[in-house]
Amino acid sequence: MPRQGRNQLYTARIILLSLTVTLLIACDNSSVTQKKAVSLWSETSVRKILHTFAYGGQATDEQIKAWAGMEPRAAIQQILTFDEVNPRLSPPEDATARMGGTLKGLQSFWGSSDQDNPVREDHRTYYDTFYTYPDGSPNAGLVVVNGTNMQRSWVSSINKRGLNPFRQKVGLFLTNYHMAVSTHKVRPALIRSMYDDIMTDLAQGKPFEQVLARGASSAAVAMQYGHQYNRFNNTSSVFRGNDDFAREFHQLFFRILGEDYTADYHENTTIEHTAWTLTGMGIDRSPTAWGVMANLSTNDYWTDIIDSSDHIDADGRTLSNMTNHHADGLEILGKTIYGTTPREKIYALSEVAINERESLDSMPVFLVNFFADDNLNDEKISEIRRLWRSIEPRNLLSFLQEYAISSTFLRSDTYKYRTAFSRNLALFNLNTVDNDEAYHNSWSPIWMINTQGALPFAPAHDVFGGQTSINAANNPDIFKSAYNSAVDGHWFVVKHSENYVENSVTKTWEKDWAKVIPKNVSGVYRVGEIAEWLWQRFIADGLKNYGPLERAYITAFLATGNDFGMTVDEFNPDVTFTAKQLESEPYKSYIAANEAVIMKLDSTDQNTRRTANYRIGWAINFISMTPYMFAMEGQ
Amino acid sequence: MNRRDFVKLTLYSSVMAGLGLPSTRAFAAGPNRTLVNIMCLGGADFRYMFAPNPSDADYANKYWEARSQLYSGHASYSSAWGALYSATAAGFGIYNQAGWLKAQYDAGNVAIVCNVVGSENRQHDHSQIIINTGDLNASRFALDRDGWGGRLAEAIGAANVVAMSHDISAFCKGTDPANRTAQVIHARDTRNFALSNGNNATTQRVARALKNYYKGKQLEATNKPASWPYHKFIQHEQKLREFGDPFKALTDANPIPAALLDIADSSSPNRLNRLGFAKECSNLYDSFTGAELFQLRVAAMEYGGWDTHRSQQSGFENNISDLFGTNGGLATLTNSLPADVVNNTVFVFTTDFGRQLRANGDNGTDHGTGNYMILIGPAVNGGVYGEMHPRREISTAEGPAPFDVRGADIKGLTSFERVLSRLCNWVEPGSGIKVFPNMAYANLNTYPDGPILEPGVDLSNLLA
Repeated sequence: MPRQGRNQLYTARIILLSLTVTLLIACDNSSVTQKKAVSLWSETSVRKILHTFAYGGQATDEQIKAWAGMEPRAAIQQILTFDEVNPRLSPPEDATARMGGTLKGLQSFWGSSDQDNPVREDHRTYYDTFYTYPDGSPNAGLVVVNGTNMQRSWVSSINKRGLNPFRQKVGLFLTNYHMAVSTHKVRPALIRSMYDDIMTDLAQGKPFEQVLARGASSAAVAMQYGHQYNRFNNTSSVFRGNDDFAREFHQLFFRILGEDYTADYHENTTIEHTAWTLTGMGIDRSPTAWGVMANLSTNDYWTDIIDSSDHIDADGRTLSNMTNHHADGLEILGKTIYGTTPREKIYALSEVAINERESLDSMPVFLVNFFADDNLNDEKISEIRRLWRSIEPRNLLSFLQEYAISSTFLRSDTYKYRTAFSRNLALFNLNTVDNDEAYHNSWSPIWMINTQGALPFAPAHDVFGGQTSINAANNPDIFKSAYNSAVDGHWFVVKHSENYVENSVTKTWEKDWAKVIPKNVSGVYRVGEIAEWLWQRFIADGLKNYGPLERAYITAFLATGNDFGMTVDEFNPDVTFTAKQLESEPYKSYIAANEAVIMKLDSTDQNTRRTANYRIGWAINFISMTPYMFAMEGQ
Repeated sequence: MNRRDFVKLTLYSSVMAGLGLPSTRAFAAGPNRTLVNIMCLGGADFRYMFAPNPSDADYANKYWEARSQLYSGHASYSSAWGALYSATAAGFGIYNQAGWLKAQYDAGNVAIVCNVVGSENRQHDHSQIIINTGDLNASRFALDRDGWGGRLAEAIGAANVVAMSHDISAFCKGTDPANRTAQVIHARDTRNFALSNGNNATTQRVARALKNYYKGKQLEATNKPASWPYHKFIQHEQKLREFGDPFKALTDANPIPAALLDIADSSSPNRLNRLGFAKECSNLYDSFTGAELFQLRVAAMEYGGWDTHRSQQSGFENNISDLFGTNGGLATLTNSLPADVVNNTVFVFTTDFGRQLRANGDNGTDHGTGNYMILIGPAVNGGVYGEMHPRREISTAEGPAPFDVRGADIKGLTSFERVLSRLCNWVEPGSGIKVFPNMAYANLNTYPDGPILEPGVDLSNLLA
């Protein structure tokens, strides 16, 4: 073994030893951790969980209060579920819930002329599964699966009441980050199938290794990494193909680099034999794939079927999947992996891989890092590893639930930067009052997210997934894009109404914050209280960061529709105030006066009502550009 | 750049802008030495670019046996060689699509350092962390730490890393955990660099509110601990605000040359395969225009698409045509820049890892370790450093020849630190050991104590 390799092995042993010691200490402290977490449990804890795991969720204020009043474990089991519909997290309002939460189901429903389809008529084409080239175009009549509409459907699912935004976030993570499939390399229908299949497995409570095995044995992954063409000649014992996914199966899916084995064993046994495992995985093609009966583009003949037999597919191709698969058991990770098909071997290998020391150490750290914490330290890592090991079989939902109510998450030194996904989708979701708005406001954040370097099902990095939170936070160009959007493209946040046509009748959707903002004890909408309510809705920090500057600017927008400088001196508005100044006269009185203004959100006069809603939009637009919308602190 | 320099610079810029004068001249007079790091994402098979001469029959035959799959439509090595490579005076061939690289090599401006090694774990993300941080021991969890470009800027002092790339990679970041981007300027979109001031009464009130709010927050932030997670965003606003308008004045007065616009134009026959790289070239041109304002000494670019497990030939040809082609991005850029800027600039190409010696059975190559490292610029002492096509790869004296072994690598004999520290020293004398502290152990010539160097190779004159 090279010296460097020996050195790595030695380092790995040291880490293993120190982890064992830390683990023993952590086990002793587990009951203390849980007690601490219970003492921290509050409405703000619940809101932080909603922001961290579900783009803010759509739970009502009453539901959030109810969860805060419950024992944390009982509450979290209601908050985080993988069901297609979570009625407490996202209360159903219409047929959306009845149609379920699979990506395929939603896209089919939203693109349909079903009489219960709540999507406005002129927007249904945005969700069609297929695109037919129009007459006059070079490919007139040709049908393709529409990848853009799949991306749009996923984004749209985030703010619709009657679904489950946590489920969608986990789906994004698993397909776009952990398994890293991309429409750059894989046909969209295959990705959609994979997405729905793994989410179904999660909803059925399957162990995480089986969920990963499901993804690993999918047609989407076989196409992404190219092993659909890998073959093994069982007579000559010659393998032909690439080892791309053989490596990524361990590195990406299970976070195993082979540190506990010699370099020679890892490369020439584990990786090589995994490559042999991934043979005979040719994907079926069909001219009627995805239910299209005629004119389907040959690019979309690819189905999600990997039939392990030797057979002729619907496209007339001979696939020798059984012949091309390595017939015997294979030694991988020190175990013999048996199975007559690649799928059987992948599932068997997954059972082994999930319990490898490296996977046990790294998997939970990557999970927590993606969802919740960019400031992990040795203590937190040790606790996270202990928690993951304690859950048998390894269940992603149980892990995330337990983590979310632990003091490893609910602590002051936890923070998470927001990606373009998490920031824009939280804004999109929380700025939506109900499904009337969700279905009739024409704005979608998808292009804004794209401008800021992220797009669902098209991960930013070719080989290891979507935009990370650290990358987003360190990227001034994303900040600039968000800033300039808030200045020059503010209309989507402040929009108070929009016309649409239904059954040839023009109708109007109107923003109505009165549906969710509570009146105060005097029965009115007072600016001071609305500002705090908005801050808690969008920032969810228990008003910790709602300081004098935030108070001055937000209440000014609410009370006057103008910036604070204008409310102080309309002839000289371009003035910088310090927090200290704002706590002194005369500015203190300006703020108090703004806070005392009553907003006519429930006015019977349309213009008055719209003006009030418009001003709330300005305040939200401002909140969205404060630093507190770019990161989330712990508690 | 420390805070005092920063304040001085911004005051200077503001005053000049206030006078209606350009805040700095376009292109620095007597330009400083500048390093441009081009990260080739995915693990580039540079072995494919520099092929053995068929007259070196022993090596060429083995090479062909192991890699013939990579040459679609060629039944023999002589056919592939004749169609795809141009011979250098040294005998080896350079892929035809890399015409500019070949011309630069012939002019003595290209150094090819052979058998260079960094990460040996073959994992993309971890290997990128290692090459960007310049630290072999960087953790796979080290997602927010300093890189060798950032450390070089710190060693210089009044300097910045200017990133043309989509993201600010670890390469650019500095050592201050509270402000990793203190000496980083993100020039991803140089013609739309500034924060908006609004263009009507409605948008101006938002712009005014945000501008004054962030100014107020800057004062608050000075009292916050380094671990406060919101520092980054206040720093972004501050830097964009201070540099945005002066830089806009400069770029407004200095249009991008037509040739650079042409390669970025999706409707042009001269467009690059990856328009994003064409944009990076324009961004670098603009950054050189504003080199004094930006205090540009280190630049970061990136080019993806090197993970060539399948159909390597077509992907590789597209890539090198964009980077190294006669009408590629770098040729167009350097032809557009003043000669003294080019004379003081060195391009270096880094990547995740090398690729395996043998083709993989899918017309591609799989992840490996050793590779070539390429440096280009008039300041480079051109030539080949190390054994370009090592005899050991075809030798059977110690078991099967590596070319006959599936999974075998280019053996790494020279640590990447050896090359990059030399480059740092060229940019700023004495900086190499600060940027790559392991170089203190260089004389030991062994891992883990010191960066290795291929026997018989002398890098002391790598750069003039």
